Amino acid sequence: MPNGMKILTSRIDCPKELDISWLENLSIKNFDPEETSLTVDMSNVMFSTPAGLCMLHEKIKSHNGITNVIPPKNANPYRYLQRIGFFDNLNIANTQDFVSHDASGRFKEMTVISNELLPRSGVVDDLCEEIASVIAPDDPDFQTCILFCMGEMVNNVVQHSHSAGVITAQFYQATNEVEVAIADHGRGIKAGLKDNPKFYSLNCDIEALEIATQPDTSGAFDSSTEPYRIELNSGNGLYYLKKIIEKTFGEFHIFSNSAHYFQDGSISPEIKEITFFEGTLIVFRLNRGYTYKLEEVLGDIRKENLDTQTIANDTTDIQFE
Amino acid sequence: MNISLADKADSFLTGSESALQIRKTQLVPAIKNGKTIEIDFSNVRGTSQSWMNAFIMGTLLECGIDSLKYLKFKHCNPLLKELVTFSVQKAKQRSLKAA
Repeated sequence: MPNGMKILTSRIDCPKELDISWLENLSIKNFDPEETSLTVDMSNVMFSTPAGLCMLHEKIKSHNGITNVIPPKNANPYRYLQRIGFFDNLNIANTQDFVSHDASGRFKEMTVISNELLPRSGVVDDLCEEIASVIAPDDPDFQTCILFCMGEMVNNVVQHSHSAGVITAQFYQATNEVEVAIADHGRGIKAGLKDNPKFYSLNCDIEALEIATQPDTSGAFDSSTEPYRIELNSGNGLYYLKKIIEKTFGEFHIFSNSAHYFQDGSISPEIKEITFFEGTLIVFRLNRGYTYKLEEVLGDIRKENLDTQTIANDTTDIQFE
Repeated sequence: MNISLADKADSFLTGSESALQIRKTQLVPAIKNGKTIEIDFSNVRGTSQSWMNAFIMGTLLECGIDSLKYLKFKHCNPLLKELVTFSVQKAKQRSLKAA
């Protein structure tokens, strides 16, 4: 080692349960993506969820130096990480052999979403359909609800992030719930919203998440409509996701740079400051028992948001055949 | 003119980029030529709201609310009807606010 070169080391000690509650309280001291070495100690991990794995995946991806991952000591969580593709996606060598088998009805392997692939027609649709069919194979109504939420989530990350990300999902039979998570280590929601001149002066991640979860908020513009700057979408994706969670007693989290938005069912959402993540993680949990026909849920949300007594409410001129 | 949105049965359309592409290359040019367009949702089980807004609301904002008279929505299930209705109402609300 040349004289004067300092080897700096960051360390992430993972707890037994690598889940949302870990992320809410996590503080990785002195993490610097430019540091020479990062050690991720997963030796105590016994249980992991899509949220925890996606976040950790992107944290490791964002590190530019050498990464040393210590795998779980226990064989079961180790095999789960192998099967879900955690090690393969990060090019970490497996030290135990395992036999891959059908994941039907349980989880979708971690899938890297490359931003070169996304503009291609059908890629996002195929991915979402595959995930929904794996985690809810026998319930078309639940599948539709998952597809809708996942579509809004993926679109949002794609439009805001300008970076590749990772997605994974798991069905929990014991609680009848699905958890879907997507994470990237891109520029965050605040920077995405600032593409819209209306939000140019935005300088706080907490405020950005407050705005992003309100109706009619978009940072994405259709460049071909310049100079009129028609928005690429209506900016209701995260708002609709939030409202569906509210009406179906689910759970919804957005981590974006220094802010964490959290909604548990119909309880008013909270936004807290966090200190550990660069990028965006969006997570939702849906309970199969509370997910009725999606059109009824959407209809309720639409009616709540109509301006009263305007001609915009008139839909008799829509020609359905 | 007929625009068929899915070949594969049970499709769920989510990628807004694909909606934008159909809007730009087929829907808007046809409206500008004064043609009636039958939008065929056969094989489509649903879309994300972002997809529908990029497709319908974007078209109505680009071509004007009156262009709704050129659009016919075929083979919509209850979910698709709800999504189309939301998109049209949003476009009307925005047009009223802009006026």
